[in-house]
Amino acid sequence: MITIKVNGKNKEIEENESLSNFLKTNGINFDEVTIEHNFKIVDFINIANIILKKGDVLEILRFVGGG
Amino acid sequence: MHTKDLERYQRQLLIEHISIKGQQKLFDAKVLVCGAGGLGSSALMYLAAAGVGNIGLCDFDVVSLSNLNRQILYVPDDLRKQKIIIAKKKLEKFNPDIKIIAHFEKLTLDNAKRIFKNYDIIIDAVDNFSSRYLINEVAYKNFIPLVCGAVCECEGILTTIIPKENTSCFRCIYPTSPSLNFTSKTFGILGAVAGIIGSMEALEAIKLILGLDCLKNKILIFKGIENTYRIRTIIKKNNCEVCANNVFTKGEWGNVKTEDW
Repeated sequence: MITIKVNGKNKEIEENESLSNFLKTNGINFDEVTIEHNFKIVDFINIANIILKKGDVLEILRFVGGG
Repeated sequence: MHTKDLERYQRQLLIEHISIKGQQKLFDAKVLVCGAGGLGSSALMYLAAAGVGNIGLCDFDVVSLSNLNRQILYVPDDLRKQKIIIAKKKLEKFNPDIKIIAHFEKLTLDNAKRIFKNYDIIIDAVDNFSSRYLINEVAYKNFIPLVCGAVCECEGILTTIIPKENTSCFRCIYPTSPSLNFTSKTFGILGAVAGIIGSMEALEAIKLILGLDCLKNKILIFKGIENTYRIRTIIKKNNCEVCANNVFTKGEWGNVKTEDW
């Protein structure tokens, strides 16, 4: 197991877990969020190629509202 | 400039970036706000306060009680009345010297093209992806600068799109179509947060009018609980359906539900 930071909180995940798998197992539909991975906005085309590493920082941002 | 204007705008005329010359630009500007809800309320009020001379508003909804935690243009007496009628009256009363144009139309590709071409800047203050996609695409392909703001619970984002400078667009951030039922009705919004992001949308529009630098190719992320905001770079997608393609896309924004605004 490795520890990453998700929205400011520590979270333990399996080693070699991809970002897309992490989102899927946590019930997050990546169509509906913006992901910041290590302080950069993620290009969704590459999401399956991103393997999470110890100490990575994820921010999951949901934005559509206004009304 | 009239004596009355010198007094009304006295405090902003003192700002180096505005002065008399900048104020005249504000008087002459034409800004359309799509959505007269939580974001739109504060954006519209601050555009009017700054003396933006021609403000359009576009909405297709009536005021409901659950709007009043964040939509500061409305009061309980306005319940069940058309938002744009109320908003137009209030803005005209607040600043009688500016022109308020109400567009009570369900937004489609055709009328968006017709309405947008009358404006220098569009502000996206809607609450659903379908409308955002449509607004983004019509603004981009007609070379009209677009300010996008959105909120969710106590967080907000903001970005500005400048088609003439070939910047990234909303579709570069959200390239795929999310579920159409994902609207602001499915999560919470704190009014103060909508007010902050709506005010910042107005500020971005004002900066564009004044020719100042804005959040192009960047996204501002505000987190109200943590008291932080940060700015990240958006990578323009070379294969973006909107900003890398001259042809209008088909489909996703075809289901625009302006009644959800």
